Amino acid sequence: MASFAAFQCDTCKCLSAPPHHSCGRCGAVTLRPITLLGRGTLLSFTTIRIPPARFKGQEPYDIAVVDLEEGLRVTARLKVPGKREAAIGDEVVFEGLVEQGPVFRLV
Amino acid sequence: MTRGVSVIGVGCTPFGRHNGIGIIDLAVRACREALEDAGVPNERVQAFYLGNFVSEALVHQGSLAPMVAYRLGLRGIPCTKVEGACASSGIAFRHGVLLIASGLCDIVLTAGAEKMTSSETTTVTEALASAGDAETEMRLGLTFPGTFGIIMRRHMYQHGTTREQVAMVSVKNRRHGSANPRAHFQKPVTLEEVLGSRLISDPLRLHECPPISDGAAAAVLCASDLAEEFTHRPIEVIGSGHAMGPGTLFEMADLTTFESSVAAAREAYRMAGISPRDIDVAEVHDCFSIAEIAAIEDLGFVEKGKGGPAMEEGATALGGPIPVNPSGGLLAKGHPVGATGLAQIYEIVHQLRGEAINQVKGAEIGLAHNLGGTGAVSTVHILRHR
Repeated sequence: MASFAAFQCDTCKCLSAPPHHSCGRCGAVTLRPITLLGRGTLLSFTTIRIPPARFKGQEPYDIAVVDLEEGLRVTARLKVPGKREAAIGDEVVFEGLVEQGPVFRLV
Repeated sequence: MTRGVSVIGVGCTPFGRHNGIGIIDLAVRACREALEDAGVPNERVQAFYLGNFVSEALVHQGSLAPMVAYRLGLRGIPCTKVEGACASSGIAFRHGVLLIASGLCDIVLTAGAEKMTSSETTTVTEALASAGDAETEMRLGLTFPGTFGIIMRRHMYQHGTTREQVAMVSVKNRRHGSANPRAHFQKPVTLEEVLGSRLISDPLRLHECPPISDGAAAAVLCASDLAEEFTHRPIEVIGSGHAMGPGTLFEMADLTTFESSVAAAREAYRMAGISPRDIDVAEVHDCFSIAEIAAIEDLGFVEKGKGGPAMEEGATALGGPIPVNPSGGLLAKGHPVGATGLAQIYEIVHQLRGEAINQVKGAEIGLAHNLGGTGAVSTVHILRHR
């Protein structure tokens, strides 16, 4: 498990993941880097079987929407080890960033 | 609205594969049909709005609006291309309405067009994916079937919607579309065929996705006080809603609700002074099977979470209390993305004139709902027979 780099708005306290100029909720420019534990649960997920042209050859791959413990929601690649099957509500941990973005793994 | 606006003419090409016909000519065909239907000569058209999404990516064509207008024989008028992903021509129609309501123009031509079949499926998938957030979600390799696969799994989990109920949307719309000579798919499918078709983005299957199609649609708008000059059966635009949403899955407060659709519907109902119960027929944005279930909930036809049971009970089929997508919807007609919003208007106008192929008996008020991106944009229009 790796820690997850995010941002917290000093004004409204909401969390966001990608670097922004200003808070997407209240508009304040005071965004502070914050480190999250990288633990969360699956809100939903899918397996992409027909990819966009530039992802050809990577299919099938899984993409999930994850709710982190601290209250941040992120969309990420999902790794499902071995013969396991993912289900909504399953625990996941942040594994790291790859070229395509964040990767979470089923616990 | 300060000044009433009516649809006085509509046109729509067949949706499907138009080998050898370019996007400009497709749009011209739909516009010519609409102008003839309206009995409006070229010189009376004061402005042109064209909805289009991926012509630059797929057929390397920009500057589309004036080029289409010129080939139509229009001269000297303002021409604007509108892009709002798959809601592009719903927005084009909306802006035509606003231009007349403002008093600036009396007659405006609106259209939508897309040319998609000359590209490979993965190229089309990539072009369409540009409607999502490139920096957060689409960089992961997410697609629109993927987006709706995620929404579908969540809808089933959160609301108890069954796999069969979602698949029934495809069965219903393909049945409706089998009578529509302009539909890309005119062959019905069975529930077994839908559930047995190959997975595209789990749990979404092939027969729950629209075909890749070419097509164009158009509508002539006219100030209501002048409409009688052209037609004895104008269809009045009594409500117009247009709203935004987050445009990403991770920013949606609820993965089963499109805020943009809820807000656009609220605005349209308020303007029309009616409630969802007053709608006799609707064309909604069924870009995937699950999208129709979410749409009928977001539009208030049923409570959130009750779209699946409503589908199963036949509430949205022809003959039901609120027939949805009598044209066959995007699932049967096809989804030439820039043309879809106006093709919905085309169907609703025919329904309210009483001349639709799958006519809903006595339909007086109709609704068209167009959605773009991951719910980034939505338009809702309510039309009434005068």
